Amino acid sequence: MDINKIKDCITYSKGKKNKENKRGQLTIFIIIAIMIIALLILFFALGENLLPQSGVKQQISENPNGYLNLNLEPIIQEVLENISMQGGYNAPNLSREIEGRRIAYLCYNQNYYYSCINQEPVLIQHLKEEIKTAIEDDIQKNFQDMREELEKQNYDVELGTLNYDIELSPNRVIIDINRDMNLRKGESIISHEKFKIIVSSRFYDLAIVAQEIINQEARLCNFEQQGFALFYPEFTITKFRTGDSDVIYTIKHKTTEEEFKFIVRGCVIPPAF
Amino acid sequence: MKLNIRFNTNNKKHLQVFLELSILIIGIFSFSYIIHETQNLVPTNLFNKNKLDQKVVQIPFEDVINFFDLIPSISAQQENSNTQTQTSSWQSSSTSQFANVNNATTNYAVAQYSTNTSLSGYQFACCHQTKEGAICQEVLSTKQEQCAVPLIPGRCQEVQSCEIGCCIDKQEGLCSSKSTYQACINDGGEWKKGEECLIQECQKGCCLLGDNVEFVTEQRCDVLSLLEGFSQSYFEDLEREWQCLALKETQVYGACVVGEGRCSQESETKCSEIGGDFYEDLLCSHESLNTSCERQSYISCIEGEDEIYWFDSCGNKENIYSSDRETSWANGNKLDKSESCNPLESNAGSTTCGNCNLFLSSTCSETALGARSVKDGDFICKDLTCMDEYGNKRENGESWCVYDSAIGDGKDTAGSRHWKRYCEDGEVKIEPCADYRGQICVQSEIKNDEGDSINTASCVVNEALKCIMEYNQGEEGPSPECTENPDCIVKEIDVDKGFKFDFCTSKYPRGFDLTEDSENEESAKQICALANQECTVIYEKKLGFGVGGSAAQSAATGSDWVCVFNCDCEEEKFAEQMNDLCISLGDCGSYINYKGEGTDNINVENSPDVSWQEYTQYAQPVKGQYAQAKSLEYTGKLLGWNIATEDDFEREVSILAKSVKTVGTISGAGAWIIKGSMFIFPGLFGVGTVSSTVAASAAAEAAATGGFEAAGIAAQDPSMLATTLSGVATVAGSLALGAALGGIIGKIFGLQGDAATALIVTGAIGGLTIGVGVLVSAKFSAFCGPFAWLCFVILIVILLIVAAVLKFLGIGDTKEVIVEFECLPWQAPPGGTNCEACNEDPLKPCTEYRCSSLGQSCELLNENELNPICVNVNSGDRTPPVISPGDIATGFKFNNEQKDSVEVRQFEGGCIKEFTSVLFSLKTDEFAQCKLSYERGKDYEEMSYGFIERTSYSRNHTTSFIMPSISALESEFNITIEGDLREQIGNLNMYVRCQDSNGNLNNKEYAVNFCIVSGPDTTPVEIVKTNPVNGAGKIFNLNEVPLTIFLSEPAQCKFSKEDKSYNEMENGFLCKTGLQESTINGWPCNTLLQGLTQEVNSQDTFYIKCIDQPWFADTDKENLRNINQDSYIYTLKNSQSELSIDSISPSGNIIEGFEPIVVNIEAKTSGGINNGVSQCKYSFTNNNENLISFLNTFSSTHKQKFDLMTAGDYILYVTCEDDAGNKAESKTIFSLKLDTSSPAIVRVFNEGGNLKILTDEKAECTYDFYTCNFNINNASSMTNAFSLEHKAPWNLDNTYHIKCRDIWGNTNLGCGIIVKPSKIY
Repeated sequence: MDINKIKDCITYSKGKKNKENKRGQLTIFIIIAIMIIALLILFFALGENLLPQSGVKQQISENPNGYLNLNLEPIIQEVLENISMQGGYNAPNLSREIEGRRIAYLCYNQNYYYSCINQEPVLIQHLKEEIKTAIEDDIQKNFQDMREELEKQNYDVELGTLNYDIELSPNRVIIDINRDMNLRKGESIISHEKFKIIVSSRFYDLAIVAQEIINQEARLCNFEQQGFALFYPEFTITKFRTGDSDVIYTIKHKTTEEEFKFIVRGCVIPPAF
Repeated sequence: MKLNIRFNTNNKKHLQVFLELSILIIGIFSFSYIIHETQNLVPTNLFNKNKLDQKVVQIPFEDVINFFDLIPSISAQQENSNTQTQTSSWQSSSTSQFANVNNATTNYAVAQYSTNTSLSGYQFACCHQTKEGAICQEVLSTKQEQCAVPLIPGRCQEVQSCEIGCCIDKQEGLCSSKSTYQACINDGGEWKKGEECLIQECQKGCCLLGDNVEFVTEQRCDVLSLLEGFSQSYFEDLEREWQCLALKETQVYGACVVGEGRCSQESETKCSEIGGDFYEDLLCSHESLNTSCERQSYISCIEGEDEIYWFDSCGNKENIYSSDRETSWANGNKLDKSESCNPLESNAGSTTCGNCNLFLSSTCSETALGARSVKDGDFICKDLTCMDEYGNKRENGESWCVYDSAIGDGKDTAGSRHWKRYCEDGEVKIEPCADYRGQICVQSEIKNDEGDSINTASCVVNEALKCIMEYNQGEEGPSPECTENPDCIVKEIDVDKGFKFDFCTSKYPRGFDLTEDSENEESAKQICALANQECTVIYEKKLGFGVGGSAAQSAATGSDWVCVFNCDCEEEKFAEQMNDLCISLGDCGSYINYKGEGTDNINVENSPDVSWQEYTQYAQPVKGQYAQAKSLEYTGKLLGWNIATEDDFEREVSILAKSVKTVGTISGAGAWIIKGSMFIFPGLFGVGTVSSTVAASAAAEAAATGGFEAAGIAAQDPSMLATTLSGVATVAGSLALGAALGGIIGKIFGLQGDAATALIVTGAIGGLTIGVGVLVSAKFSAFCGPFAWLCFVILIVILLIVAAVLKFLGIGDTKEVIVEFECLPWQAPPGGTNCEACNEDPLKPCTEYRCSSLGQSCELLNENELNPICVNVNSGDRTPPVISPGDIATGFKFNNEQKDSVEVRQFEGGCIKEFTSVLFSLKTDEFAQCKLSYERGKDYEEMSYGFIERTSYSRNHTTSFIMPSISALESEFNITIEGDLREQIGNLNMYVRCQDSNGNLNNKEYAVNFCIVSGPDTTPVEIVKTNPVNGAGKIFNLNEVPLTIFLSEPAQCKFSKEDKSYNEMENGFLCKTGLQESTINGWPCNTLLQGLTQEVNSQDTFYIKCIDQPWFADTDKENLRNINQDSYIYTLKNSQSELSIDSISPSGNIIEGFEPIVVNIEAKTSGGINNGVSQCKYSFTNNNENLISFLNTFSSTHKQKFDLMTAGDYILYVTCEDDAGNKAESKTIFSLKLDTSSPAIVRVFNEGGNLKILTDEKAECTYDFYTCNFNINNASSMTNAFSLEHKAPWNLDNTYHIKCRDIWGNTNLGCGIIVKPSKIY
């Protein structure tokens, strides 16, 4: 009897199994495999009933907007969170890693002393583009899923070209989709062409504040967040200056706790000289 | 012609006059000669040595300094002006700030790259996009590798695509300053010149949006008005943001009655827009309005407002909450804040008054269940004050400065940083000022009339280098600006007469890059070198004691050499004063870091040194000490205020104050805060040139030295004043001539100092004797002959003899001692023993600078985190982390602590019983990663990251361990564990190795020993947890409930409704007994409790017992198993009734005039386990998925607001569930209809001589006799209030063009009807 075999049974670290415990690992893998198989069986057995949209299946032909809204809203929320936590980009280029996440510089000057140069002067339009790009695949996929659902209901589905725009406004983000969709079943035809996904979000409001901060940083090398909070108490603005004088701004909407984070580098004063 | 001079009585007077004149003339030359020779005796360089070596420092610094003018730093809220005057001011201000951009850019090259290189040779190029992705960055033309595209020769400002200007987002009505051309137009913006956006399109005014205001551009006001469905209302003359915000408060509010019984609380403007009947200052619940809204239905907070408010049953805000309902309701009249309860108090924590005030540090907040709240709901005025580091109370919004050490007087310590802290919503937050003390934290105190005060602080640019470089230019010493600038101080160096000067230096010295191989090392040296000085001390060989020198000095030196000049340079005060200057220049000299450790970085020759240890007291911050803000006047100018006098300033402040008063809700501290925010502004600087000189003072003072003073004194002998002018002239002339002869002879013999003095004195005395003799004695005069030539010859002979003797003795020789002071850049202490002091305060995150100041081998790790750590990474450090016990869970202890091991034991000292989990931590004496293994001798790589900290470098390493059971192991693996193996398991060791950031690894593992209770297990099993929890409620009338219990060790369990022995219990559990089947809560056992009571408010009780060590079941060791003697009593309560949803509102049709439509959903529940208290969720789809919790729930009333709904039919499904699992489902169906059609006129007739019309909905109608194209607002009305009936006089001569408008503003296009009255009707 090898003592290691016995020791394999010893658990530590909050009940987690020893990673070097090969037997333990094997057990875990087996359990995971069983779970995956069970889930697959369940999925195929219950299939449609497990789909989140099953409850609205009957309404899709009449209310395709509802279907899209149901499926796209959480995706859009996630996209908004991602963009707003990364300085307004899905995949920031000019950025710095903070706490494991890359955050974009929205105002930047690599040189000492000079105030920063606005990197996204038309920030709102830029954000619209970022959102648009980020959700394109999901919109396509949802239309495709919807088509499949409807075809299961014996509809012939004709889909036109997808056009969509992002509208950012106070308290909400709206996806305006223009796409011809004709549903035929026997003699009846149902046509849809406009779809609107409304997501409740302070994304726009946060972006407006971000733009104001950038403006003032670019002009004045500073933004006095306490003064701003005095007039607009619904926001909390945290300004953190790193040792190398990057300023990390976090704008938070107090009620919804949504955040927008970005970095400014300008008017950097080097050590002593 | 022969000069016949006879010396007789007749000619006596003539001769005398002639002699006197001659002597006078000779005397002039003689005195001149004396003075000339005197100066030569003092080294001329004494007066120049105190000047700075301009060749060294001036070239780079004078250019760099101009950058300061590019660094404005101003409060965000202070520049909101758009009047022409202010625009001009801004423009001029901006011009001055940025006028030097071109020069500055050139200077930048010097700043960043130049050390000893001349300015020429660097050229900038514009990089369209750097490899990092930044657009339009200027780089050196030689740095193509930084740029992702080919560099464009020239400055970015000269490249069209990178030209900086103002970008206007026409679609949004937003302006972006400092925007590049290409980036702007690429995203659809409109680019205009002028980077400050000081153009008409970007000027802001006040935009009224229903009840709200926004300080925006006119174009943006259009956009927002459109988005929010309001007609545009823009006030461009409200030029300040606070004035705009104040406008919001000037809106008149009241009850707006629309339709029958429907009422909402609106502003007059909005009510007018929706066509309601407006009742100013009345609440909808006012009895006279006869609405369906019931008063004081509930209380709540409102976003953007401070107070707790009552709401009526229609969801309208009423007055500020007071538990005195009648007073608060005020008979249905609106109460102002000042008329509500305790208006001058913050009411924080009050249970009776909801008049919270943000500016008095309180605001409305929802409370958790059971927490202190007002009497009528779960809300409270939350206290927003904070406690600072000294335990002082700070108001919400107050800010103050925190320092690492003493500040000012050039004494900021190396590595120290200035910090701004502020209180926001009850939490102390930090804003670090720029590191290396590039910014300083300035603080102001603001007092109100009552004498209370708050502080405001701000990080502003530190003008330290400007003090040094710009204000020392004049020959007369520091310029007056030095004393005016609060960032500068004048250091008065006063060591001795010949070493005395003033120097303008920094009050808060800038920090240097202290890392090894710093690019700025050379610059640091140059700055410190400004304090390099030499003091020339002069010694002279004396003729005995006391002549021109001090006897004490002579005695002290044991020789005849005596110090005669700059003697104090050899005293301690020389090094003290010079080091004082040295450390004020930056991180220079013998000084300390912010933790009080230091190094000596000065070199003092020929004078006592000074040590850093004399400065340790500066490591402690001084309570109450802070940097002062710049003056208000200066700030006012900065803001573009038109300030010529103090009155002007007061006027500007009063504008702000009035605005604040208009707001009405702001008082007391609020005003201070606003006022305070004006106080603290970063400084801008004027443009100036640079010089780097030290004014040498006291030049003339040094002239009178040595024995020449004697000559001067003799020349002014007061006894001579009694003689006649001619007598004086004779005597003085003789004296001077004698002295001059002495001087000349001394010169010929090369005598100096005392010897020269003695000779001159001898000569002077001789001359004096001759002069007096000639004057008073005819014989003497005759003896001396004409012009007393004979006597002077004798005097010359005497002087020659004296000179020869002095020369022989060496008297009067002088020597110089050069006392040198060299100021060097400060160096961090050797080693890195104190590196981790940088990590101690989470409110002061460590930085590169702070870390490197603590030790030569300190280095920053985890730089990509907001709170990185500083560790000792000295490559010479071969010491592995030392592991020691840390914390351990209650009930256990570390025992027998050795260097490389420790035991984990029960607190009482015994071994730990099987299956017990022990949570503990180990410490390392430095930041390290730790791994563990249960096998000795494993390589570090093979060990596992078994600690919670995983790969992070930390000093605490936490893990837990569950004691194994030998018998269980034997059973599990069907083996017998005996002998060494048994001993091994019974005394199991966990081996730990840690590695520091240097890669130093413990050679010897650290062993943590676990001793498991040996012998038979005599402890019965313990039920750790149950699900549902013990005492929980069950679903009403549910007959059976599944129960899971979690055990401390594997066991088998039974239960019964009566307390019996284990064997008699009739119901069993299904238990997991495998060693690896433990969950985080223990080993689970499941069963189904059946036959539960159906009686209301009653409960079921179950008795549970277990028997442990299941592996002994049915073996000969069955008797070793432990059974619970006492049952675990488990109860389950029945609910009082089913949970039901009593109501959901709204339902039916809701007609609104505009989108988005605000809908307030409210559901009420009752029954269940706790009088309807439950959680409700909603969904617009009937599939029980995607359920979203109500915003306000966990009570019997559940509220949710939808403020973005559009017209349509809705079914809202609501599901509620209480703690017992009682569920209730319901739904509400409602239709949101948008009334977009104009009223239809359904009937026209004559009634009582009036033209009467009826409309299909409530409306107001007007008429015009001539056209349908009239303005309904200005036409003759047929309606008193919104009504179905409308009438006008019946006039046969006119044609009635009638137009109607409903309450939503829908108006007939053209005419609703045209009526021509006739006689027949």
